[in-house]
Amino acid sequence: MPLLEIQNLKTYFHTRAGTTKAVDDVSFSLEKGEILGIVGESGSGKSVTCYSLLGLLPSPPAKVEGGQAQFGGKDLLQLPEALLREIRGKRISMIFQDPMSCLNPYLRILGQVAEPLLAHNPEITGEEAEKQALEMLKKVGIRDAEERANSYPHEFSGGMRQRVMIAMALITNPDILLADEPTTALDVTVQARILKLLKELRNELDVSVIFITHDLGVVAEVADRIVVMYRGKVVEQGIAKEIFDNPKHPYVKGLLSCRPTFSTTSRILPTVEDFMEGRIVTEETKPLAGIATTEGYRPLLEVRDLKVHFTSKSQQTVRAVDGVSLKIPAGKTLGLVGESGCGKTTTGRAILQLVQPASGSILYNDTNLASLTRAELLPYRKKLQIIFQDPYASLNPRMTIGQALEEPILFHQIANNGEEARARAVSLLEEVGLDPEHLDRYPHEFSGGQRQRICVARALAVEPEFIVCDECVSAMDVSIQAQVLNLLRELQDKRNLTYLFISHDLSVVKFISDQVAVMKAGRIIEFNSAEEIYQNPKEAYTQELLAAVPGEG
Amino acid sequence: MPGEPFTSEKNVSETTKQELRALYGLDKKLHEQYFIYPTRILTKWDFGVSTSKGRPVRDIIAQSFPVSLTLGLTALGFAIGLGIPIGILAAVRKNTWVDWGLMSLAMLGICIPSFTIGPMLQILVAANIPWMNVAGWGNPQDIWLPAITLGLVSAAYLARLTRGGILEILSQDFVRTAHAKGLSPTVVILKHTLRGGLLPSVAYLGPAFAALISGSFIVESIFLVPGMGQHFVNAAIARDEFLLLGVSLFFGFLIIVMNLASDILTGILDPRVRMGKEGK
Amino acid sequence: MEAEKQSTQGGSSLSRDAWIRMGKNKLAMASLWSFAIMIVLCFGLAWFCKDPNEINLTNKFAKVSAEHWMGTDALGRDLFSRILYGGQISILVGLVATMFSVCIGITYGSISGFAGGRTDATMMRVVDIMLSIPFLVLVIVLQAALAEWSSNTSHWLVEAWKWDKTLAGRVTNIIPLFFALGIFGWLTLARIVRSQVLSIKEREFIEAARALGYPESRILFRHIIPNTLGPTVVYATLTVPSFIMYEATLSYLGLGVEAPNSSWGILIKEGANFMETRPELLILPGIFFSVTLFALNFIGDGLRDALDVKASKD
Repeated sequence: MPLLEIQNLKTYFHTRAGTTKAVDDVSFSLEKGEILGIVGESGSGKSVTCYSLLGLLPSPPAKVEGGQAQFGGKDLLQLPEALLREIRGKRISMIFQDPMSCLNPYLRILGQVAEPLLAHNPEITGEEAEKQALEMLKKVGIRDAEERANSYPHEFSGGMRQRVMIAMALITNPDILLADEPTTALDVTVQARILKLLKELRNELDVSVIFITHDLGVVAEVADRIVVMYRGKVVEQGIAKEIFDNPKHPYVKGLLSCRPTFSTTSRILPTVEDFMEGRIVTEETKPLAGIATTEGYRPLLEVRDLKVHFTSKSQQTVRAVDGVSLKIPAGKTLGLVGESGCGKTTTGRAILQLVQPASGSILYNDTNLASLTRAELLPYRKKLQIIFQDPYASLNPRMTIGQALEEPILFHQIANNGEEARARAVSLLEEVGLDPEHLDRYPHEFSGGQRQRICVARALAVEPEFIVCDECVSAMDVSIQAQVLNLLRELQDKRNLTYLFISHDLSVVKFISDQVAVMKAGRIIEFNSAEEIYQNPKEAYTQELLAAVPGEG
Repeated sequence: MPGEPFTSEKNVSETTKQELRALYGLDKKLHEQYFIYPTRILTKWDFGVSTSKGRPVRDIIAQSFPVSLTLGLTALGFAIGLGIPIGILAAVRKNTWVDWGLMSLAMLGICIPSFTIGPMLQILVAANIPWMNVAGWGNPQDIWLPAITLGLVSAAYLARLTRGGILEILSQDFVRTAHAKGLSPTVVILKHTLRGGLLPSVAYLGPAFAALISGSFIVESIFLVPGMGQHFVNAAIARDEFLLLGVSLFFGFLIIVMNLASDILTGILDPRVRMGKEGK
Repeated sequence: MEAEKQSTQGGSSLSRDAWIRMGKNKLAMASLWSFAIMIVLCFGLAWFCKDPNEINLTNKFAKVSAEHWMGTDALGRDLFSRILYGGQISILVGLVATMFSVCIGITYGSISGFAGGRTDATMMRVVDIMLSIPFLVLVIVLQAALAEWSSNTSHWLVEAWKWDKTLAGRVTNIIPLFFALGIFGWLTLARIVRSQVLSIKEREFIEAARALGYPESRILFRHIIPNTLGPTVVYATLTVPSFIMYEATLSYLGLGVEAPNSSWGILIKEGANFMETRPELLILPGIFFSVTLFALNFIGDGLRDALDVKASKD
C-alpha cells in the first residue's frame, strides 16, 4: 500500500476574472522511501498540488473542489484544520524555493530549527529541543554549528540557508518531505551539493520525498519515479528512466527534446509546439568545426585587461571585474559562463559603457569605446545593444510596444517620420514572430516569452551589429527558452549578428556558443572553443562546474 | 521673522532699548551675534529671557515640560494600548466586517479634529463620570480627557500602521514556512509576524511622541493644561523670539532623542538593522 | 497560479487598469461621489444661497426652517450658507497648497534622486532638517511674517487696481496660508518621489534607454518621472485632507483664515463657544468637515490599492 495516495485532486482558484482550474483531476501515489519528481512548467499546477495536501493555499481564492489524499488511513483533504496542523511539520514537512525569504529574519536559526519539535511535542523541554536541533544542523552539514546556531538567517549564504531549511523540515523525523523547487535559486555547484545531501538523508532517515521542479536535469538526477504535469493535469507518470528514454505523450517528448543538453548537436531546437501539433522535426546538424582558435579571424570586439571597481557600503573597493580580456569575431557567439557574483554581468555592462570601467580598453573595430565622450559614443549606441534577463523590467510599463520600438528609430533618425517608423516597427515585430496588431498594447499584456521577443525587437530597431545577451533566457520555461534561442539563432544567420551570451546555464551556453569563456571572481580562468571547453576542460573549476550540471554525466 | 524682539506695540524708551540690546548682545557685530546665543546655551543653560512673559525661557520650559511629559506619556500609553491591538485585529481579520469597521473607526479618529472631539468629550463624558474633570490641571482626575483627546489621533495612525505592517509580513514566505511547521495561527501571529509587523509603528512612535509632548496646544487650550505647546503659539504671535527659539531648540533636541530611541528599538526588533547590513 | 491571461481587446494602459480596479472598490467610489457632491455644494449651490455674512441679530440661534435650512448662528447668519462658503476656502486651501507642494516635491525629489551621490545627500539633509522642525510652528512663523505683507498688498490692490475691498481682503488673507502650507508641505512628497526615482533608476528599462544613447533629460522626463506618478498621485490625494486639517487648526488658533472669509475651522471654533446650549453649531460644520476628510482619505486608500503602491517606508 502506498504511503500517500492522491486521487482525482481538483483545486480551483475562484477570482473575479473567473475560475482557473489550477489542479484538474490529478492522481498519483508515493511509495515508502522513494523520491517522486513532479515536473512541469510554470502554471502547470505542480506546486498547488502539494500546497493543497497540507491546506497551505490561501482560501479564498483557492478551493479544493474534490478528490482524496489518503495518508496513514486518513483523507488529508477532509481533515479539520486542527488535525491537519498535527500532521504539518510533524509527519509531512516542506521546504521551499527561496531559502532567502523562507526563514524568519527576526529569529535566531537554532530557535527556528527547534520550533517544530516544540510545537508537536508538548513534553519536550526547550533545552532538549535545541540540543536535537544542533545535532540536526550538524547532520545537514553546517560547519561550526555550535557557534553559528545563534546567528540570524541573513548571516548565512543561500546554500547554507537551504541546509537550515532541510534541518528544520527533517527534525521531527517526518514520513514525507515535500520539496518545492528547493535548488532553483542556487548556483549549480551548490545545487549539486544540496541534491547529494537530500539523497543521503533520504537513505539515512528513511523519508519519502516529493520533489517539485521545472528542471528536467534535476529530476533525472534525483527522482526514482516522475509525474509530468501540464496545465493542471498529469500527462505522464512512471519510472524516471523509462520516461526519459521513451516518452509517450507528445508534450513530454517535446519537453525532453527542446531542452539543450551537452549532447545536442542540432542548430535549431525542436519546440514543444512541434510535437503537440505533430510536426516532424528535421534535425539540422551544427557544423562540428567550431573555431578552434581566434587566429585568422579579425575580432569585431576586443576587450583588453578590463577592470571595474565598485565601492561597497563599508567603503571597501570591490573588484567586480579584475582584468578581463576577450576577443569576439564578427558573426560568432562568445558564451560567458560563471556562477552568481563572478562579474559576468558587469563585464557585459562595461562593454556597453553602462558602467564606467576603472581601466582597460574596449576596442570595437579598433575604436576604444572607453575613451570616447558621450557625443562620440552616440553612433556606437546603434551598433552595440543589450537584452536583459527580466523582459518585464526592461520595458517601460507606461509605453506601448509601438512607442517603445518607434522611440529609438526616431531618436537615431533611422526613419524620417512617424509613419516610416511605424512601418519599421511593424516589420520588426514580424521579424521576431509577433503579431503587428499588438503594437498598441502595453508590456503587461504579454507573456514572458513574448516580452523577451519585444526586447529583442527593440534592440534590433537600431540595426545593431553586436548584442550582449545578459541571462536573457534564464528566467524562462524550457519550452519558451527553446523558442527564444531559436529566434536568436535565426537572427544571427540573417543579420550576421555577433553575440556575447552571458549565462549561468552551461547547457544553454554549449548550445549557442562558438567560443566559451569561464569566469570566476572577476577573472577569466579558461577561454577556448566551445567543443574544447566541454570535452576537454583544463581548469579544475571548469571541471567542477561541468560535473555539477544535473542530468549530465 | 521681520523686526527685532523689541519692536512691539508698547512704547519703550530709546535708552531702555539700548540697555536691552546690550543685555542680549544685539549691539555687537552681526557675526559676533551668531556665537553669543549658542555659547550662552552651552555654558550657562541660558536661553535668554522671554520678552512677552518677562521670565527666563529656561524657567518657562522647566515649568511646562513636566506637565507636557506627563500628558504626552499618558496619551502615548493610551494610543499604544488602543491602536496596536486594533491594528493587529484588523490585519488578522483582513477584508471582513471586523477589519472594515475598525479601520473606519481609525479613519474617524484621523478625520475628526481634536478641537471637535475635545469639546464633545467635555459635554458627553466628563459631565457624567465623576472621576474625570472637565478641565484644569493638578488633580489625578484632570489628565483623562486631554490624554484621550490627544492620544486618539495617534491611536488611529498606529492602528493603520500596525495593520499595514502585519499584512506586509503576512504576505512573506517565512510565514508560509511557519504554517508548514504546523504552528497554530496564534503562534504564527505572535511569534513570527508581530516583530516585523510592528516596525513601521515603532518608527512612527519617536516623532509621534515628540509631537504629542509639544504639538498639543489645541488640547492644552481646550482643557486648560499649562503645558509647553501653548508657548509655541503665543511666542509666535507675540514675536517673542527668545521664547520661540528656546522652545524650538528644546523641541528639536527632543525629536533627536526620540528618533534615537526609535532607532534603538528598531535595532532590537530587527537583527538585520543591528548588524548594520541592509536586508533584502 | 502563475498562468498569465491574455486580454483579447486592444491595449489597456496601467492607468486604465487601475481605474477599472478602482471602479470595483465600493468604498472608494462612494467617497469619490461624496467628494464630488461636496464640490458641487460648495462651489455651485453656494452662489444661490444667502449672504453668509449678513448679520440679523433679531433672528439669532434660529431653529431649522425653510428659510434657514440649518438654522442661524449667534449673529443670526445663515449656518448652511456659512458652511458652504467656509467649505470653499477649506477645500481650496487643501487643493491649492497640495498643487504647490506637488510641483515642488516632484522637482526636488526627482532631481535629488536622479543626480544621486553628494547632491542627493545634501538635498536630503536639507529635507531632514526641515522635517525635524514642527510643521505647525513653521507655518505659524511664516503666517506671522506674512501678515504685514498681506495687509499692505490688500491696500495696494484696492488703491492701485481699484479692487473691491472685500475681495482684495479675501484674496490677500488666504494667499499666505497657501504659501505657508505649500512651502513646507512638499517635504514628505519629495522623499517619496526620490525613493521612487531611485528604485526606477535601477530598473533595466532605464539601462536599455542608456544603451540606446538617450540623453539624461529624455530618460528623466520620458522614462522615470511618468513611472513615479502612481505613488505621487496617491500621496497627493492623502495630502489634501491633511492640509485641510492644518488650515482648520490654524484658523481655530486664530492664525489662519480671517473675516470676511470663513472656513470650517472657524465655524467649528465659533460653534465650540455655544456647544452646551446649541451643540449643532459645532456638530454640523464638524460633519461636513469630517465627511470631506473621510472621503479624501478613502479615495487615497482606494487609489493606493488600485495603483498597487506599496506602503512607503518613510
